[in-house]
Amino acid sequence: MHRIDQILVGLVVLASALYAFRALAPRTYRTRFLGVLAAWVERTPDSLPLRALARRLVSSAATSTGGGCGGCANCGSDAKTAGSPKAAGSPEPLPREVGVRLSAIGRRRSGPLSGP
Amino acid sequence: MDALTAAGPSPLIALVGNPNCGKTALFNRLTGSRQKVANYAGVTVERKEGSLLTPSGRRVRILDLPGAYSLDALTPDEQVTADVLLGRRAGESQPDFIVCVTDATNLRQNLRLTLSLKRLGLPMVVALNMSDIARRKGIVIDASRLAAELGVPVVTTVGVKSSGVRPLIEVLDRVAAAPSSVAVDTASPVAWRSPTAAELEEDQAQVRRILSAVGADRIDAATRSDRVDAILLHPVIGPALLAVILFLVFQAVFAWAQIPMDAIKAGVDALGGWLATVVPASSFRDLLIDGVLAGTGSVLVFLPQIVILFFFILVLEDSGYLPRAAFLLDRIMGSVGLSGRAFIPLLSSFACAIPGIMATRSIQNPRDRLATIMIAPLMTCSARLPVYALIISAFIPRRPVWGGLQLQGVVLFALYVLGVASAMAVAYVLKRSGGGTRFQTLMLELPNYHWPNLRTLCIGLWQRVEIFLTRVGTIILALMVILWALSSFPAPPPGATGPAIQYSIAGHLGAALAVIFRPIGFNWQISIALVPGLAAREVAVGALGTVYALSATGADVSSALAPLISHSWSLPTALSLLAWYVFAPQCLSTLATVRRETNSWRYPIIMAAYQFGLAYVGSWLTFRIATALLA
Repeated sequence: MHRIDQILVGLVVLASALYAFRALAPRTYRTRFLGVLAAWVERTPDSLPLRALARRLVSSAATSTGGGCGGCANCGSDAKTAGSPKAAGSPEPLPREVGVRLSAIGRRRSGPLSGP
Repeated sequence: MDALTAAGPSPLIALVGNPNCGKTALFNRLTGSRQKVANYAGVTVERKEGSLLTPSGRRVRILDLPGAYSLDALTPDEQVTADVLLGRRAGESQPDFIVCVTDATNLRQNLRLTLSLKRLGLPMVVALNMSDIARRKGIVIDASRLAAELGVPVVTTVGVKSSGVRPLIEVLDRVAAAPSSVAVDTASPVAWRSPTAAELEEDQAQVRRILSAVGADRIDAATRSDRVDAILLHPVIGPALLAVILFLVFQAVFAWAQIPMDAIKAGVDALGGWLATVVPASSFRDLLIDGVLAGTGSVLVFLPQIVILFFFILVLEDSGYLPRAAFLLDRIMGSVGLSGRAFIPLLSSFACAIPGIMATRSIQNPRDRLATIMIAPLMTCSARLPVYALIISAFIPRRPVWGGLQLQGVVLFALYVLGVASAMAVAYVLKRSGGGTRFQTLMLELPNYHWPNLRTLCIGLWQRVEIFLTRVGTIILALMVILWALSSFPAPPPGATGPAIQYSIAGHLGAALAVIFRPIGFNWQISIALVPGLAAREVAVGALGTVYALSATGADVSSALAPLISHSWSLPTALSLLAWYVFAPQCLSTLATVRRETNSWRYPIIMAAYQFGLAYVGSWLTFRIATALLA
């Protein structure tokens, strides 16, 4: 009974630590860590059904959790599109962020812009 | 139309228009999304995508783009729109179809962008949005004549009503089914370039001619909004009313929240009691009661106060009062070198600094934008409310002052004012150190007032509740479990007399940190709570709940946290902690957002350094002065 109690507590703490890391760690470290973890899981014997877990880890490394800030999706920092019964996932990968160099903000472009 | 055919079964349709013409309301109606809508310009600063299944069962992808006055972008949010429309955005194809959303009550301004969009040569429909408001104001637009003048189809829409988007859905259905059914009467598209002054004048002349043809060239005398503005924007009455409104909001946060807070407390206690009886004594039970319940329960209790605060913020946003507040505060903002345009990002930061920092994209001047980004975290975000509320309820008596006002509400208001004042001071220093505080002219569109939309209000409030509960149920819960583990292991040595937490990893960490924080009056429990509080502010309250739960012998510590700290801490310590939370850096997500928005680590590092410095000095001064006064 005491051993089951310890295992249960250990699993809850481990899951919490992984979640906190996934939610709070910078994307670079998160991706690297989850990539390493996925590769490690991939190496497990075929008899263990962990390949699907490895694939999930890889895809999870690429997505933002929105856990740190709550993820209202209003700021554009979240990769997910507006979730709704009518909305569906976009068929092609979309850029997640807008990076506008500070020095370029508010300056008119001197030359003509390329058109359609 | 080749592009559309090539795009396959899901054409990409962009909603484009001037700021505050109702694009996001339309987007929400079409896609079933719940993106933020409000009655002021610059709410959307990033592209959003959703999809719509048309009545004939075809799917179209819909893009909601930030409002723009022209394709000649002056601000980062306009740049997003221009880049998407001109097909210059990396990894994204040019839209197949444009829905040019126009405000039917303000066609004079909106049509200029319509003419620019038409020149792109993409298939397009014009949505005359807010047509119900236009009708009520006596503005009658001949839509078929407008379609003939523009050479594109025109539909009337009401974005806030489900029946109001039907005509647009019918057009989109046709677009998805037979793209050639919607055509644009235009010459072949030309490479886009910035218009010359003569071309702009020519466009304006064409707008005047179209307005005259469709019967929309009437310029109203004083509207109802103008009459209200005569009072609300009065140079003396206006600022006084603004102060009264904000003051009453903070009174309500304390006065109205007591009953639901007591109910949540009772629920948490009951759950704790029930768990203690059904789960046998074990580490797992300790984790559930002292870690999960004490931690998350002590944060959850503040949900009613957050809901009340957001109720008022959403009402102010939806009514159209916020841009007026920006106008009223322009002089004050100007005195520290910021423009009134910085007001709305700063006000957004009262909810959360992240959307506030994102909203600075609507600021044209890069130096103004940087200064606004750097001070946005000093605005009191909603995550700080639980910390303030906990300390205020523990140390400030609940008694009326000045003819019925709640003293606790007055103190909360003062903390918010302190945040704003310190932000203004920092902005002044930043602008001075960077070459003077030149006064910037404010150009701001003042929307018409309207009663807040009940659906928008309910959705907005529900979203805040959802966000708060998500945080409590995910990151706060995870951090509480980790903190519990750090506070419980290793077990105390045989013969230990103090609480077990003192011998744990967290206990040792707290003791080490206490050396740094002792000069500002913090004990080791507070020192521990500050660390997870960096992940999210309200976690500090949960952390205090867990730490004190493990330090105490009682069962229902989560509800007793306020009286417990009022006995454990001195008043100077409490005031010092309040000062710390006014100035200290917000969550890590905020710093990451600053890094992304400035494309540099330099600014988040400077921000964290100056905020930690301010927090330490502010807390030290508060602690020393309060100790001296109470001696």
